[in-house]
This record gives sequence, structure tokens and C-alpha cells, in this order.
Amino acid sequence: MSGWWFLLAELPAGLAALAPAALGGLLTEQTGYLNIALEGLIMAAAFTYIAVGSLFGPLAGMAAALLVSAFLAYTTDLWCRRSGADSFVAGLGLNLLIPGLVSLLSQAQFGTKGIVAVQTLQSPRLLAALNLRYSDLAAFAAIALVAFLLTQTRFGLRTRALGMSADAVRMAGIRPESVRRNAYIASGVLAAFSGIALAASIGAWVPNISAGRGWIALVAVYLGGRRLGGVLLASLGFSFLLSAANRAQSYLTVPAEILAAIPYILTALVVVGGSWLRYRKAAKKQAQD
Amino acid sequence: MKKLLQRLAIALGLTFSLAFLFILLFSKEHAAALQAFFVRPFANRVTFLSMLELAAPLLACSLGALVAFRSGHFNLGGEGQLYTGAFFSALAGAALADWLPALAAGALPGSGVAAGPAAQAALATLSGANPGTEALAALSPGLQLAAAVAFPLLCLLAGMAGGLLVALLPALGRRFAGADILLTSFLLSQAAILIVDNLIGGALRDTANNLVAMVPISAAARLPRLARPSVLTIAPFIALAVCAALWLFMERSRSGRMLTLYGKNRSFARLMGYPVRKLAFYPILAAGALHGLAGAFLVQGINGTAIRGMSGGLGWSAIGVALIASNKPAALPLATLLFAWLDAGARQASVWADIPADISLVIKAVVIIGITARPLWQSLRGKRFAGEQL
Repeated sequence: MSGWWFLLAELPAGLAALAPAALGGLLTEQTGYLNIALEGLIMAAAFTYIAVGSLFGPLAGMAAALLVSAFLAYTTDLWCRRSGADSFVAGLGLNLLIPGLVSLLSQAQFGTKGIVAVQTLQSPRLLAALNLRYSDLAAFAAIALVAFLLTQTRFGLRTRALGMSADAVRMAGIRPESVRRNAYIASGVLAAFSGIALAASIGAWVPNISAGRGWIALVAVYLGGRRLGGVLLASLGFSFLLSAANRAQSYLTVPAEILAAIPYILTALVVVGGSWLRYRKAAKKQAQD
Repeated sequence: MKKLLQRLAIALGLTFSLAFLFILLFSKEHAAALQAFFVRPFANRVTFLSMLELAAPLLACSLGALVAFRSGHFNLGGEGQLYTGAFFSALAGAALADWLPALAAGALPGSGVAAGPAAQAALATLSGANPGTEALAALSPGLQLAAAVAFPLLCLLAGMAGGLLVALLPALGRRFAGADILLTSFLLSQAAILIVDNLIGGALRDTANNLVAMVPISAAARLPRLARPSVLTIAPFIALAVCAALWLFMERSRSGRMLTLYGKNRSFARLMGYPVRKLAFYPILAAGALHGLAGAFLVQGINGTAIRGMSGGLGWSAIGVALIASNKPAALPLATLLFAWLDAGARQASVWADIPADISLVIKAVVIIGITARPLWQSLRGKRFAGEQL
């Protein structure tokens, strides 16, 4: 019983570290140009939060993390639009660039490539029993705001419209470039909330802190059927899976790495399964026609 | 051809200017750092040949990346495929180390290979860490040659099987469910990395060694070294031969043409009656196997065993190499050399000057971000024309 309670208690923290990034992925996917650099952006934000926060305090660290991540997403998108570079390849490059840069910067500022712990940057818990921190609340607020923007405002309408038909958007007198730019900036900000939640939950920078969350977020976009509710639900499922794998370490004798591998394998199987269902549906429809 | 030259120019320009810039920014001893980065990899025979050896796994990976790109599949699982390949190769090599002495002692029934006592002694020494030349000489020349070819080949094949295994589920998913391999290949590779990490660090770790690594593979399974004291083995030549074969397949064969067209336009390939189902399956497996081959090169060439974390970003670098070569097999060795030199230069600079070796990773990443761009002069010209039209 207590095991289940712990599992539920871990859930908000896991969700806060995953769902914002997944929403960011969703926004860019809806414009038709998926941002696959979420992993790198999460990492960049987490490091900036610790690096700037250790100098000027947690709020400044948070602001800097949001700015840096948004700036990185914006410049990458700008580069792709202006130079005609492939946005997938550039995103992949960004995912490689950030671990390298962070390692260099970490050595310059802290003199180590390894773990940097700054106790004051650990966000306090709301309640002693619940593993819910203020940084997680910030992430949830961001999720709520974006959900509102996406469904209720002109920004959301334009974002969704661009993915459906770029020509229609252009005909309506809207520049597709600016819609795409806004979506990318928003994805950078959202990924930053994930990164901040990760770093603030432990009050430290750990190399490879994101541990594949940016990629899982992309899978959540895909499995959520590219819809807001679906993506949030998929993120919830993945947070549960990840925290269950984490939790199981203390109950089972199975090695930690094997347990950590299971969510990846399950996810891959779910992706293949979901795709198979869609494949069959399409084939049936074709047969009927 | 024009695109290829443009990309080579972008890659070279970015690499040189960034390396220069980083050294000016980060180093306090500019002259030493510049010399170490740009000159030292070529300065003497040993470092140069060792750089060539390190280029072999990268070339093999790039071949895999190229096959995937050409057929329109975005394989992001290179790291895990390489790592698993290395693991399988080390497993086969270690098994040989266990079995060969038994074989030589005649403990195994039907060991027709080991005929006379001299041959048995030879096999026993073959499996040891240091094969004695006089014992080898006792083997009949034919048998010697067979053993020298068969054992390394067996381990290379084991490596390829390992890479293929990791690529199998994504390939099946693509073939039977139409699931894009972009995500599945990455997820499976990530899982493979975790599992192999665990096996190398846990159950199969060589506890006699401080390094987190498996037991050394049988000396008979290692690739022959060509120019001691450098680490050069025949691996670069095998990789070049595979590259040549791939060039023949891609540019001179009907299947290669089909694969390329399928990669460019799947609907067109289907309408042309190409075997699209096969094309959605085998290229992915081939990419996995080639990455596995790279892992085997690492084990049977430089390292002699599988070491934890040995993939070291090669799978990602390979994507950059394939893009620089604009997916042309003929240009692949050149593009590989560029990245291999970058790694070697950064390593030299970190030893001989105060430059962290991470800068090679940063430079590679920037090259990847920049490589698919239209060159600056073209986009400027395009703008001017657009302006004139208005």
C-alpha cells in the first residue's frame, strides 16, 4: 500500500519534468515543423538554472534558463528558415551541441565536468508528505497557460492552421514564418520549465540530467495523436512508467539499468503497436473503397 | 556533385574557423594549442597511422548512416547498434579464448582442426595473450591461414549480428506496421545501451582489471596489426573495401538505384512496382549491421575488449559524416578523415596544451547544424534576384 502511495507521490514531479516539454513538442508539431531538439533544450535550461542560480539566486536562474532555452530554439529556427537548412538535422545538431557546450562551461565555472550541487537551488516542497515543489507548480502553471493559449486564442488557432495548410494561412494574410517562430519560442520556454523542474527537484546539475526525457516527450506527442488532451495523457502515462521503473529498484533485485531499459522497450513496442492499428485501419478503409 | 563540393566547403570552413576561434578564446598558450591541433596529428608516423585506425569505426558507422539516409530512413539508433555490436564481438572473442585451449587439448569431440600435438600446442598459444611465433609455425600453412582468417571474421560477424539485433524491431515495425524508425530506433538503442552497460559492468566484468570492461578477447580473434608501434590494423582497409562495395551497389546496380529512388519518393517507388516492402526492411537492417561492424572494429582493433561507454558518440558523428559526403559513398572516406582528424587534433590539443577534448564534440555539432544549409552566397543571390523581380 505504501508503495503505491509513494508511486503516486512521485507522479507530479515526474509529470512536471515531462509534460511541458511534450507540450512544446506538440506546438511545433502542429505547425508542421517538429522541434526534435527538446532533449538539448531541457539540458540547457537545467544547466543555466544551476549556473546562473548559483550566482544570483533561484529566481534569476529560472529567468535565465527560460531566456536561454527560448533563445536557442529561436535562433535554430531562424537559422533553418533563413538558410534553408533541414530542421531535423539542425535539431539533431543542437542536441549534440548542448552536452558539449555545457561540459565546457561547467568546467569553466565550477571546475568540474561532473555533478554540481547547489543546495540553495533546491526548490522547497509544498507539503512535507507530498513530493511537490514550487518549481513543479511553475511547470503546471505553464502547462495550463499553454493549454489555454492553444485552445482559446488566435495564437493557438494560427498554430493549428499552419500545420493543416500553410497556403490557407498565407491567404489569410498571416506570415507562416512568424507563426512558426512563435511556436518555436514557446517550445523553448516550455522545455525550459521541464529542465528547471528537473534541476530544482534535486538542487544540482548532473551530466545527462534529462536522461532521454526530451525524446520521450516526442514520443508522447506522437502517441497522444498530436492533440492537447492526448499528449497530456500520454505524458502522464510515461511519468507513471518512469517513476514505477525508478520505484521498482528498491523492491526488486533486478539491476537498475535493466529496469531503466524497460520503459524504452515498452515505449518502442507501444509506438509500433499504435502504428500497426493505424496501418490496419487505413488498409481496411482502402479495402472498403 | 556541386552539392557535395558545397558541403565539403562548409564543413572544412566551419571546422577550421571554429577550431581556430576556440583555441584563441579558451587557450592561454595559443601557439602550442594551434600546433597540437593542426600539426601534431600529421607530425609523425605513429600518430598519423593511429588516426587512420580510429577512422575505421567511424567510416563503418557512416556507411550505415548513409544506407539509412539513402533509403529515406532516419536511423537515430547508431550509438546502441555500435555498442551492442562491440559487445557481441567481445563476447565471441572471449568465447574463443575459452574454447581454443579446450579444442587444442582435444577435450572437445570432433575437433578435427587440431590434428597433431604440434597443432594443439599452436592452438593453445593462439588463444593466449601472446601467440608464440614458433608454435604458429608448427601449424600447416593452410591451417594457419584458415585460423587467421576465420577467427577474426567470426567475431566481426558476431558484431554485425549485434548491431542487426538492435535494428531488428525498428525494421519489423517499419515493415509490418509502417512505424517510422526515427523514434523506435532511438528508443531501442537507448534500451540496448543500458542493458549492455549493465552486462559489461556487472555479470561479465573482468574483475582482474580496474577498467570497467570485459575479459580480453582471444589474441587469435584480433585484427592483425600492420605497423607497430602505431595501433593501425587492417580495419581501415576492411572499411574501405566495404565502402567500395557500397559504392558499386549504390551507384552501379539496379537495386541501389531502386533504393535511392525509394528514399527520395516512396509513392513513386510503389507506382514503379519496386519491392517497397523489402526496401522498408533490409536497408534498416543493413544500417544496423554496419554500425555493429564498427563496434567490432573497436573491440578487435584498438581495445581488445568491450569497455563501458566505448561508443563515445561515434553513432552521432556518423550522421554528420554522411551528411558532409552528401550521401555519396565515394566521398565518405574524405569526410570521415575530416572528423577523425578533428578528434585526433582535439585529443592532441588536450594533451599538449590547455584545450579540453570536448571541443571536437562542439565543432562536430556546429558542422551538423550548418551542413544542410544553402551556402551564404546562394541565399544572398536569391534575395537579390527576388528584389529585382519586385
